[in-house]
Amino acid sequence: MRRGAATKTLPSAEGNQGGPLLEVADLRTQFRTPRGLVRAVDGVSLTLERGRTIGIVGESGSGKTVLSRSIMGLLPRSNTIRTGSIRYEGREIIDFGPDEMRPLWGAEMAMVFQDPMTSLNPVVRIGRQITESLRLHLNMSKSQAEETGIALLSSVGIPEPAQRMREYPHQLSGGMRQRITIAIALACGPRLLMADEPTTALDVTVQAQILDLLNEQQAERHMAMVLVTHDLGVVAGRTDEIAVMYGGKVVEQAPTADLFANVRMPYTEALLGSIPKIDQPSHTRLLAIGGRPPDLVNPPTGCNFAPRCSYAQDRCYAEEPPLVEDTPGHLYRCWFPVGSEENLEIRSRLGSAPSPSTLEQPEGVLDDAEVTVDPSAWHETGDV
Amino acid sequence: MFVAKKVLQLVFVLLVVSFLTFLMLDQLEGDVVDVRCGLGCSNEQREALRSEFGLDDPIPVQYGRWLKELVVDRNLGVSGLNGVPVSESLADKLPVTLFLVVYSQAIALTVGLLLGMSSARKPGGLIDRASSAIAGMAISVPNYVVAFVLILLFAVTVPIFSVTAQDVNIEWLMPDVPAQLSNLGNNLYLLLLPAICLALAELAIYARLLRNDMVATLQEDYVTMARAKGLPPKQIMRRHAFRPSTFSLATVAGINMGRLIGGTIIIEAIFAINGMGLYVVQSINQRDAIPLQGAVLVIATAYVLINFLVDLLYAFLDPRIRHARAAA
Amino acid sequence: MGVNNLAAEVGVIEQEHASIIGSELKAQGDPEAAAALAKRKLGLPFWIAIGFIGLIAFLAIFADWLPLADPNEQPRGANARLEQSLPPFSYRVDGSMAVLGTDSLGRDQLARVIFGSRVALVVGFASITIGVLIGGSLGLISGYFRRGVDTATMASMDVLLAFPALLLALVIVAIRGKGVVNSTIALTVVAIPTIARLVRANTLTFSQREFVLAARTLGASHLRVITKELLPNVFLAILPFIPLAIAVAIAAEGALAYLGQSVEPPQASLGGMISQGQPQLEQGKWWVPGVPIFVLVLLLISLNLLGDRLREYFSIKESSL
Ligand SMILES: Nc1ncnc2c1ncn2[C@@H]1O[C@H](COP(=O)(O)OP(=O)(O)OP(=O)(O)O)[C@@H](O)[C@H]1O
Ligand code: SF4
Ligand SMILES: [Mg+2]
Repeated sequence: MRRGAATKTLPSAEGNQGGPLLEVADLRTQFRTPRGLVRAVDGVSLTLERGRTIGIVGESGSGKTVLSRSIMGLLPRSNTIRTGSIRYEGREIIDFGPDEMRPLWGAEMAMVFQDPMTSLNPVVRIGRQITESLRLHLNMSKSQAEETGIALLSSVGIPEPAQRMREYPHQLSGGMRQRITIAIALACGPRLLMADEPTTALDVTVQAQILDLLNEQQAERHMAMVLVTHDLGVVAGRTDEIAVMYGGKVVEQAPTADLFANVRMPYTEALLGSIPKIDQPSHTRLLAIGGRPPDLVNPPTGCNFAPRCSYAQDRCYAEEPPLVEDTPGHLYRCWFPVGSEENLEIRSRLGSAPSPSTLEQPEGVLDDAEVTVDPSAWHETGDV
Repeated sequence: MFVAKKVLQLVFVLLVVSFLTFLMLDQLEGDVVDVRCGLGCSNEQREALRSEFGLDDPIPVQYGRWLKELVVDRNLGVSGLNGVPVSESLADKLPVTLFLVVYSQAIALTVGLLLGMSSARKPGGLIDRASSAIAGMAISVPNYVVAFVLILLFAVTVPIFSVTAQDVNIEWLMPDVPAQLSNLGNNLYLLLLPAICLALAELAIYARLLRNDMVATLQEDYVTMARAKGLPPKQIMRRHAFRPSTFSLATVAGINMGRLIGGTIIIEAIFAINGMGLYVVQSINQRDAIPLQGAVLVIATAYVLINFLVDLLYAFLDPRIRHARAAA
Repeated sequence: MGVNNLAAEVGVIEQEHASIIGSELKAQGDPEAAAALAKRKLGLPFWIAIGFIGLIAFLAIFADWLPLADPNEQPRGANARLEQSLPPFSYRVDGSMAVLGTDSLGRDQLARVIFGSRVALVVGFASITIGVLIGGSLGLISGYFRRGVDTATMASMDVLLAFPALLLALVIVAIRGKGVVNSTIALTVVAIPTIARLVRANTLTFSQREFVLAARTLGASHLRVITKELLPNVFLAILPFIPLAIAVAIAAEGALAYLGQSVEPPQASLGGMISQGQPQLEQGKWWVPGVPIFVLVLLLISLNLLGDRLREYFSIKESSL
């Protein structure tokens, strides 16, 4: 039962204390479904150094959640195929089953989920949800774990932590709950934190607080973090590096400052045009780029993004662009990258081309976007 | 607050149920006179009996009198046939029925939980499909058919059980522990076949309910979160998945207690078990209204009380309900 | 075995269904695949079940004109004992064959089982038809108008449900006397609350759908909305439960008959035949109660299968829309 505690000393086995914490190479995750193989993650490579943060950005359905759960080994095993390489502290973990992963889960790598309303067990007291991993991995006694739990709660900014320990999740607000899931994730001092859209379900005003909390804790604990989001604005000031995903593939990857200074990928450019503004309703999930994401069962030949790209040429439909390096550390996947001469030429040919972010919504794809209904308009037409 | 409101509701329902019981069986009261008279009664004698039983008063007055008798003196009247007080007979028979109900419920819950949990662990797997097929059969075959099959198999072909269980003897106050235990063992043995008959359909329902809820629960984020904490599967099942999956099971199991009491009527008749069910059937056959009234009242009351307790249990299982209701 | 059974069953089935369909669709994530599923046929077992129910119904309806033995005729005289409790396919003394054997009084089991099925079918179908008419109206009205009507209706349904179903049916028969009509009345009363609840729940969901809201805003009358918009949809939604309800009612009629509270002897009923066969069972002559049990169980399983397949069929259709 308590063997978890011993794994704290795991890395030295292969003695690469100096190497990167996490190295993902050509990771592919596929789901067997009646329709065929869903290629949810299609050849992703990432490297994450200790204490650093990488942002994973992409629209809904681009495979961000599948990627982060694949790395953690948390996907259901029955219909999932996972190939490639995942090295954690130098050790290959892609073939690890749940029994081998269990000592790592919670102790070495932890996860914060998107929706704090569903990620806390409604019938278990908060205290127990925090202390159970402390007791399991760190072998703490009941009272030790209790004390540590209270300390953790207060470190994530929860008032009256001792009292909260005895409460149930439904008695707290969404922001407080997300703080609690963060406290749970941090409990055993993991080296790697996966935060899967940790603020999407929260009010705009709370979002910044939670992100600040994550950054603060990360710096304090020298913990590496994978911050998943569909919102480039979230990762802008908070990550060292950004990987943009589209249709299961990384389409652009660069150090954060470099990416914003020198966008090469048309998809990223379009995403940048769709950073939500504060004055927009908080629940709108932006899908400002017209068209739908590619079918992951029968991906189109050529560039995935071509059907929606305003610069697409014949070549884009015929050949898939490879991932190429621009400046060191800046990769992209495009034949006619933004800023290149060919691209400028296409632009001038398009004349007063609309910027990609304001592309017209093609007909018939409205069902794909999240439509917010203006209640006042509803009243006018609905209440005759 | 929540409990107070529930109690108020309970009292109201009990009053309505008792009135309805009284009213329904009042229809049979005429027969009380018949039962007493046999064939040879003059009209005057009949009239005398009618007023002796208070049958000439208006219904509400009769009901009030009946209720007062019932609540104050705990008197349910006497059998028109043999003059034995109904409360005395019920005191003999109720424990037998309760024993049978609890026994079969225990079997149904134990087997149902085991089956449901092992099906949920691998949805679509062998255990799951087998238990689903068996459940489909068990739900569609009535318990008296099951009884006949069990009797044929285990009392006639291989006579390890007896075809009747009339020797059941529920004694609460036995002088010594060994005697108590051997009595208990004997009762468990005698009532095993009847209990299985009652348990089979329930068991199938419980297994399916738990399986479905559990499959849904295992897909919840909080279960993934528990896995991401590195908890071992047993602990995840026990602490995180089990309780949230038992809400509908608890409700249905509770409601079924009442249903089982109904089911005992026929099972007791088949196995000649001396409980409430057989008492009801005999009273009907002899057109003996007052015992029937008492028995129906006791069964309906038990049923309502159980539903009340289930509501409380439900609130206990799900803290969200507890708080939401307390607030409302 | 009572009609309350249906309530629990309905719950189980609905949940099971939601989860199965849900996971199938989740895995596929698009309507095309669901449409492919909808093309699935009702399947062979469904047609076998229909065939069996049809056969029994045919025999029961035309029993009077079929060349059957008199179901109530007992052999008399010296050889009477030799013709009692015969197993199926035995010969009587006069050389005629008793295809399904004879009962403990030497009566022809084939004839009795057909006439018994007639009682079961009549009571089962009639009680559920009337139950759907009355319970369905109550459910529609309280689900549509809500508020006071709803509270009052559902409270009275709850009071009815406070009595175990079989007990309630027994008491009603005890008050009104035995016979097909009174058994039907008893089982109707018992079925109403469950049906009312089921219909009400469906009405509540459909009342929120766009087409109903639209009809309301266009100024359609209550009556029109209920009959034209709600009724067809709600009926289609509860249609698959009707065979299940009939199965439950038939099983309950069997229970009443077993307890001697259905038709008056010597008229045959399946439950009565089972009850009379019990002493024979205990002597090892299992076929005597076995014949009516076999017919009853096949009938119940067929009805259940019918309901299950219909439900699958309809809900897949609906989810593919
Ligand atoms: N278990 C599964 N079986 C089949 N397909 C799946 C499964 N899980 C995810 N997918 C598919 O994989 C794709 C990627 O999904 P994923 O949840 O990773 O997207 P995401 O980028 O996290 O989107 P969001 O912003 O909505 O969270 C989707 O098309 C989804 O339908
Ligand atoms: S390769 Fe072509 S289609 Fe793809 S992003 Fe570049 S320009 Fe657009
Ligand atoms: Mg996601």
